[in-house]
Amino acid sequence: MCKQITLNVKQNLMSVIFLLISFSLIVAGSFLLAFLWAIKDGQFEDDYSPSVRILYEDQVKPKKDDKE
Amino acid sequence: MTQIIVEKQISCYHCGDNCGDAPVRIREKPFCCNGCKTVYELLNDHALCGYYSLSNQPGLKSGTREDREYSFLEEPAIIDQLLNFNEGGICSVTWKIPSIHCSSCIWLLENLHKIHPGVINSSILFQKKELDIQFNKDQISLAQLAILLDTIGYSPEITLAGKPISNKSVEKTLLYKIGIAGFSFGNIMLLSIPEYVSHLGDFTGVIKVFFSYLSLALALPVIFYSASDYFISAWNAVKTRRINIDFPIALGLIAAFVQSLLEIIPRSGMGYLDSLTGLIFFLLIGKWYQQKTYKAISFQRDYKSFFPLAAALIREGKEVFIPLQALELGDLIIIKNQDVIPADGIMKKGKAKIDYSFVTGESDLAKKQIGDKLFAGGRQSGESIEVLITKKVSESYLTQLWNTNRSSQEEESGFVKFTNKVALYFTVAVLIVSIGTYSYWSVVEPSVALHAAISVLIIFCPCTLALAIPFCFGSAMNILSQNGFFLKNTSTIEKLTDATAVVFDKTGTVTYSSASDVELQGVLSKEEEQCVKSLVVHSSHPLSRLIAQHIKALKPLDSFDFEESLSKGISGRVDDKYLRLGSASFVGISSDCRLPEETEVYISINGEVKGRYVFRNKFREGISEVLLKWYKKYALHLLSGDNDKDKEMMQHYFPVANIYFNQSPHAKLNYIKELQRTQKTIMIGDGLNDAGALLESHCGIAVSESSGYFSPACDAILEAKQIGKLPDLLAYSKACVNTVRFSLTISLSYNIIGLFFACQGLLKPLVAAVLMPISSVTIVLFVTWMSNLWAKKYHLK
Repeated sequence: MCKQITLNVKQNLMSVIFLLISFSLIVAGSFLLAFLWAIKDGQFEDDYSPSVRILYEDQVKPKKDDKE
Repeated sequence: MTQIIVEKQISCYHCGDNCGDAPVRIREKPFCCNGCKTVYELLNDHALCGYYSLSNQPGLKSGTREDREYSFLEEPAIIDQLLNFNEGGICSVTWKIPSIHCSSCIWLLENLHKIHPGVINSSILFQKKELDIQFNKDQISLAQLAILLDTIGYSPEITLAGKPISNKSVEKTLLYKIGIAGFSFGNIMLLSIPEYVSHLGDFTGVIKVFFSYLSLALALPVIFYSASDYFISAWNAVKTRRINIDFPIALGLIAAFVQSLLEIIPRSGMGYLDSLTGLIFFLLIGKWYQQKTYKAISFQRDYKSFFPLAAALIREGKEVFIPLQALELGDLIIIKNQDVIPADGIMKKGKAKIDYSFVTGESDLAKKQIGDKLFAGGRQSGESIEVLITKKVSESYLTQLWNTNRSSQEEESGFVKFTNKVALYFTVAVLIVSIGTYSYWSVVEPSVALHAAISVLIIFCPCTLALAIPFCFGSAMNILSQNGFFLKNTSTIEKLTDATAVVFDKTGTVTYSSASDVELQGVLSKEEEQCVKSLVVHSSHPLSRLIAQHIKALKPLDSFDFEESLSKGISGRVDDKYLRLGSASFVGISSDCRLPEETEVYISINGEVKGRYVFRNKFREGISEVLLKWYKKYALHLLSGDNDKDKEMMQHYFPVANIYFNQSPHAKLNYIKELQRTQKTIMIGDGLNDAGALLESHCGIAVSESSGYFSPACDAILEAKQIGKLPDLLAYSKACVNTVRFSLTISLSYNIIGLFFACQGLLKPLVAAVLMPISSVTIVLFVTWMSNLWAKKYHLK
């Protein structure tokens, strides 16, 4: 009887671990995909000008819209 | 007080240069020249004056640049080659603009659409100094676009070869590989923790199998995708029978993978997958770090970037632009004012005045008649001429000069050679030892044999060897480039350290290229000048000597009562005049209202201040210290294309036997060639007329006023204002080379210790798994830390 319970607990524990690991892999995998997408998008090509550009946004954007 | 303001230097609102006595003014703002004023007006008209508020005097002088001809950009064949994209009138082009240097540049260039409505969008890649422009070709042509950029001081550097796109995909691929390797490494590490702590409780059964198969699944993309470069490189090494460092690495990777499979498939263990993926991850990071430093400082250009891209060809009486490569023998081309002659030819029409300063260093214009031979690299000034091409572009004199001995430049560096050599012995040793281990254990204890042999392969993998060099030299190059010293590649660091001779080019390197010696400000009659001369000949002070040289033509008269006050001036009587020459206070000017910015000597005659002699600093700032420091350390040589007027001055710094004047570029090249036979030579020049010599030398350093502007074929570029740091920079390189040597020793001892245990079959998978990443990480930390420490020591950081 006692042995049966430990076995059940063990099996439940195991299925929880399977579940947790698959979830964690899915979460981690989505971060990986986000990273790959960011590379593809060219976000790592220039790490200086965006930091400067964000300060100009106010001046640049409205004019840009006018032109287009 | 007012005098001070007048005396203060007025700097140009646009480029920050000294405006001199008569600045061009508009809206209260001073400009040094009309070029700068025009740019300002253009920006002002389009409400872009924010350009000036973002950083101080961000502009670039446009007046000094040569007029460029962009009409070849009208030619459809050339346009096709340059455009990235061309659909429905919308075109896109990527140009390299070397003069991009600050946040103002980003702002202005991304606001191009305000200046010209034809520009749809423009965006900068700052580190690469590239500008992507989308434009409407019906509103603005490619040539007009180039002219627009040129007008505002950002001339595009247009080359047909080497579009930047291909480079991008290589970098991206590496990032993909790193991302995947990092992801798998992290997850496998987590899954392996139970195995590490399995002594705390039982870790068996389904969970263990599940974990190990999951690790295997995660490791597969790392092995087959992320690490593929190492396998390909190793395979190529096998094919060409030249073992490189990648070969033992690949062997180790395969061994670790096979071992893991052997443990996972019979469900006996977890294998080495965590350390395997970790290793690949670190190797790739090292590679990326190296590439990143290259990217920031890459300057690979060849002679073609000095040449025009297209030539104006006369075909059936009409002028057509064709790409330079398409030039044929017997073609008749038109060379306009300021055009460079692309290939050797014969004058057919017009009057040529050719400036060969580019090739020979001779600044006088060479007059040529119809029928004369013209050499490539000359620049025509004056009217348009017609030239019949007699040699193909790649056979011309200038091209030869640049290409001489090109192949030797591509030789592998000492360390790469060393590691490859070591790798060869390593591989042989690894194979022998692992086979030995296997055969020993198969006799003694067959169950251990395969494990032990594979452990040997894994632990002996010279991965730390492969990590030390990129990390150390990568951070070294980074620090050097922060100090205005840009290296072509890591092997340049080694080349810098083992040289024994240093050859300087005089003009532009040791001295300023456009320095006038002595200038008289004020008016002196000939008679008065004669009196000054009569006095200065008695003084041995260097300034007196310079003045004496300046008024060479006059004969000194007899002088009386000559007196020299140290570091103040000289006084004396000539005829009925009493002269005082020296500092402002010495001649009686109150010195509190002015700060001397230049070396100057005032002249007063009979108590009346007549004027002053101004000495422009002929030497580059800091160069004399460099020369004095190096006088004993290196064999110093001086080559000059100029005449020998500065001989005396140079004798203080260079051994007399090593000073040569009137050297043509060819002579310089031959001199270096001769020297190279006995000594390893560093050549330091301005890179204009000594490009051949720079290439020929063991390590060629081009001194440039601005790293963005000019980059010829050389091993390193040094910003002119940093020249005083040269000894420190070289000492730092030396320290880095020593650091690499030291870290190589450490990594080798790691391997040998590991081997000692692995051979005996003592090395548990656990220990191997921990040891391998630890050794890699310690090496990486060690070299990065050391290179920063040395940088601090030599005041480079």
